Amino acid sequence: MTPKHIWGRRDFVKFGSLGLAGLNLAEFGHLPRARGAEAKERACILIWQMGGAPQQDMFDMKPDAPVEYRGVFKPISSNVPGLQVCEHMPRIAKVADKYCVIRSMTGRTAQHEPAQHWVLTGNAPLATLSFPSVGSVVAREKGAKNGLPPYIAIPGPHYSYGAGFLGGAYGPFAAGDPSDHGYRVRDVHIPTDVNWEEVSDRRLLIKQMDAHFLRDPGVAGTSGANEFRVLDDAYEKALTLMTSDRARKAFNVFEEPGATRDLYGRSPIGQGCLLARRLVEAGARFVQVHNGMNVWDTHQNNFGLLQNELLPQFDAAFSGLLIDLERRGMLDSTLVIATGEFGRTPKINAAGGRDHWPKVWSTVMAGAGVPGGAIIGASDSNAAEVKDSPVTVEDYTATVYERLGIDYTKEYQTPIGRPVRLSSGKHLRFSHRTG
Amino acid sequence: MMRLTIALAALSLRAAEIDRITVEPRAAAVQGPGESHQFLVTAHYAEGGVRDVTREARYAIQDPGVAKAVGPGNLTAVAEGVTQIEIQLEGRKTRAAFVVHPARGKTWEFANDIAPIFSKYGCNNNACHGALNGQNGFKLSLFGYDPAADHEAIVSQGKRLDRTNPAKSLLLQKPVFELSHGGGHLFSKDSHDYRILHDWISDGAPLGSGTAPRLSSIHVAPRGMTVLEREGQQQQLLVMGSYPDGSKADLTRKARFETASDHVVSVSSTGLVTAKGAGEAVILVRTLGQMDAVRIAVTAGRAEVNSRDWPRNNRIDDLVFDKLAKLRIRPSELASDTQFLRRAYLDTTGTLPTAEEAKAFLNDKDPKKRDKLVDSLLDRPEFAQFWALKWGDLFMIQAIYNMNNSPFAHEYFRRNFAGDRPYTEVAREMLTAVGPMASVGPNSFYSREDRRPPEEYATFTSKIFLGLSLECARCHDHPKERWKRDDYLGLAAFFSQVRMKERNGYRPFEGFVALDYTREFRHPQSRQVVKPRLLDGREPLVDAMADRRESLANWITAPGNPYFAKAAVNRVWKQFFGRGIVEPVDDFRATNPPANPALLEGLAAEFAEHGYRFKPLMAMMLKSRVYQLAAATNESNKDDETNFSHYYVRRVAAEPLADAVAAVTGVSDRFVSYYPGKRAIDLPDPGIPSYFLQTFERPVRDNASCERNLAPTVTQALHLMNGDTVLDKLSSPGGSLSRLLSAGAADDQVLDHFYLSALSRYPKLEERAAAKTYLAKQRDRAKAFQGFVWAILNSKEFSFNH
Repeated sequence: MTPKHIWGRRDFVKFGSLGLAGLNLAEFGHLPRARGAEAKERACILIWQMGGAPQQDMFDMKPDAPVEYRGVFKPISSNVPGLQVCEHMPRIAKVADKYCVIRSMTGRTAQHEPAQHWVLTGNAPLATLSFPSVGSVVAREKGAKNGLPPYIAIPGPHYSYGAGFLGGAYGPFAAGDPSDHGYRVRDVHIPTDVNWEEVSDRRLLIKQMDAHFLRDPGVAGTSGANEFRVLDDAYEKALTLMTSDRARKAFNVFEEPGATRDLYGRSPIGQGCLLARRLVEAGARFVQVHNGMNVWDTHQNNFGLLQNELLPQFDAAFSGLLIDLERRGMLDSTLVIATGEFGRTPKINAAGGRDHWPKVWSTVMAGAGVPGGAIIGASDSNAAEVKDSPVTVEDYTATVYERLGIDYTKEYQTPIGRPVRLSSGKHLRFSHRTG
Repeated sequence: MMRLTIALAALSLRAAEIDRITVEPRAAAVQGPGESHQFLVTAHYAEGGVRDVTREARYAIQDPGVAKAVGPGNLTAVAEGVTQIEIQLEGRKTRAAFVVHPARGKTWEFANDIAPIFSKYGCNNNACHGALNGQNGFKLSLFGYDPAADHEAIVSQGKRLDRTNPAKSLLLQKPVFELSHGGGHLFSKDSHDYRILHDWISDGAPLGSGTAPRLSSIHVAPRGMTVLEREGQQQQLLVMGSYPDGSKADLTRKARFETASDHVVSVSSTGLVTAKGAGEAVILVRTLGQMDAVRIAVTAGRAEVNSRDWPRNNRIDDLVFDKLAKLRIRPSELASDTQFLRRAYLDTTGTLPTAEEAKAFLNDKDPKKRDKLVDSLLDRPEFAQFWALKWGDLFMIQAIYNMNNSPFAHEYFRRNFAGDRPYTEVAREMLTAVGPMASVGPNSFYSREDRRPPEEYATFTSKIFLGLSLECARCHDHPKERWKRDDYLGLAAFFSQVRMKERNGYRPFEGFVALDYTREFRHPQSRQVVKPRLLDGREPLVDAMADRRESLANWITAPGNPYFAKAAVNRVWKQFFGRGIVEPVDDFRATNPPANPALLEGLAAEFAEHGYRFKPLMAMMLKSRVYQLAAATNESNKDDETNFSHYYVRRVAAEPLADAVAAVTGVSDRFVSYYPGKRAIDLPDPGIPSYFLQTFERPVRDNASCERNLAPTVTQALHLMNGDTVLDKLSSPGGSLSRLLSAGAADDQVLDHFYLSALSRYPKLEERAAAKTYLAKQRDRAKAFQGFVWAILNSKEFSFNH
């Protein structure tokens, strides 16, 4: 098997002239979109490499670049000939047939907050409008299933993960850090000194209070009735979480066999991915996992941090997730993504670090019909510029929506009536022939 | 009974006697034969009320050689000259003059004559040919911002035009649906617009000189709110354009009419409005880059009201009730003392009254006790703290961006509110700030670490101080407003001299707002120097060695500024009444007209009269009958969400809610590095950790749309039910409950205490009974009462302001 270099909508000519195996030019451009009903049931796990992961030290190695660019890491071969990854991701190298590397992601800002906002929402930040994150849009489009919150953040929401103008009901549910020894999802357990009978007595008392309030001559018939319903709805969903065994069990990573927990690694990101799998299995629609505020922001000691901590943890977590999803038959119905808000500078700085670099970075996608063992686009010899087939942040969000069976040309209306398209980009057409 | 009243109303309309009829305009002028003009004829009834009778009136043209009638009230010039028009209806008469000037030697101006047609039918909107890639190979600029490009797109390609046989042009065959057209059938072959396009094509489809006078504004008549009483009743709109040379022209046939409330009215492409059902509609009118809007109310099916009997406390009531009477909406009853007490405390100070305060107010027999309470609330320290919090949201004060300025900014706002400093003074101080960023309150306007370029200051200045959303105009002319990109850049140029100076080594993160007089602001594309220009178009003379921001501050805070006072009173109004008179509060524009213009004007005048001090304004609002209306509705106002006919219930926001939980349980929060008892409403920064505040959506202040998100979430419900910040307080040995129980309080005493402290009232008999039934069932008294307080904290009455 050789890597399938797949281009987006633009580069027909190069496509043909490179003559790579596994491609079928005739198919290009009018491939069926992900089949509707099936895609609509798909869920998404986003491994959020917050701070910006280095493209040239992970999935887009440049062994021929000068040493001040390429750094100290060596590439290794993967199980897909022609696709090489960093030597510190040996497990990821063994499952290359399951994922697709986009080497030509490109953004336009080098500051964390706006760049994170951009990637997470698909929109450049505006001072005057707060956009919903992709997770919130998915939550709104797909709704809840089996009593699980549709959009869950592990360990918790960073501020730009929010629901923006869609409103808090579509915001992420914070699951906490499952790598903690005494991990329990916050607030879904009734107080320890109270039993369920007492809880239902108390609930009855609330119901009586509310009924009295709504009958009050100063309130009866208020136009707030609708807001009361939304509050009731939130309490209903909260109670479902508190009482549904299925939902609460989903959060219990301790049920997993030790071997599975080890497969993902016992790090926050590893256990986060394991929890994400459990949640998706139980009905969550979009789960976002990250392992700390800007942890990938390696301005100093880039190679030490990567080698000792970031890469081994990511290696186990990402490969473990793909293996586990596949053996459970969930890979086709789960889109797995690993990306940060930008890449890192081609040239190593004086502190042995790499700084912010939005011009090009790598995003990895798997599952949900995304062909494995494939590469999309290319960067130049120093991983500094896009050489082929740029994939903008908007194209990326369009692709995510399309994979999940959501029409990204749909428009939402903001509170002031401005139409906002879910994504203004174009999705990648994953054209390939199997075999 | 209802039906009878309606029938009578309809009858009275028909039988009513017309006092006089009037016509608009009194004199109409057109440029040469073939041009037409719309007249608007209005009947004024003896008993009050007006009605559009344009379609019923008869028009006698004195000199038929000059003009002829082509539609109801629509006249077309036949030849140069002047004629009188006699207009008659039911014996009432009026007259108008019709002047036909010599034709200007007809020259086409694509931008004025042709481009408006594409706007009128929506051809250039973002769903059709205005889309990024156009539609079917035909692309127009979005909303027609680039006429020259549009002309090029039309004339340069293939069969779009057929100059020898214009009727065979795609440009005509598509909209009349001779050929299949994705945009559908837009107009017919005998329409005015067809004729214009046809003539233009046969004249060679010229671009024109491009020097035609640019329209300076449009005004839609009738002004003020039009009321239609019956379904099917109609109102003709008249769109008059003004040019820089003072001339006027009828643009009714060129304008595009739109309404979002199509269940209330429909509006035709000629500006004829037809009533469909009860309600209010705003009709947006757009042409040649200018916009206006009118408000139409339909009262069909609503019983007449007698507003003279409605009790009033002050002028606010007159202004709100006048509008309600027109809409035939009756206001709700007066709120009870309990309701008023709780809401006045929460809205004004973000704080609940204590059990003792509630008791004292409820027992007070003074008929003036509500006014007394208002005055005392405005003097409380919590008032200043709470409004400093709100102003912190408004100015997006946060340590991360503001170089740790947030405590100083909060303190600055707090003192301004406590001392009721004129808002003009505060605005000037902030706009013209210089000096250390971290430790000087007013400098927070400039201290964002992200080094705002001058454009950002233009955005925030217009939003915060003027209530205008100019952001769209940063990159393109505003699609729904007359703001052009040049307006935005002109405003940005006032900030060109601002410079941030780092003072590394002296104190971490301390920086300095400095001025560099020589710095100019350059156009982002052309790189030309942009001169500072006010939004009214004037370019103030600025001395080269002066702070440009001074002249901007002069304009903003001048008594005649059309935005400043209104934007301020509208924000305050929203806090007390749950909705802005203009909503969203920072989106003032002609096409988003105020729900009640007279009210907004009146409040702004009041604010100015009191020297731009907030307290007199707030006192007036809080003492009004309108503020003190119940949340309950009646048949006539149950659907009202814009005219303040009842109190709009809303959730209590994060900080007041956290404080309320602390107050009811008697256990205060402990925020990192603050003394115990520090209130959440008095926290200067959204970064101060608190799971409770974060869960209840304390704004992170990273975005100028500072509207709070009050929609409940699952996480909030879970936390109020099971969260440690709540449960620990309930069972705390130092808390109110433990203290009451260990002091041997009887059940009734405990119930009273918590009803008073959480809900500002005593429990009713049935509530007392229900609580006692619950208590009797529990084994452990302390735990039982914990459950009771838990229930109150999770009740709707507690978490809503009503």
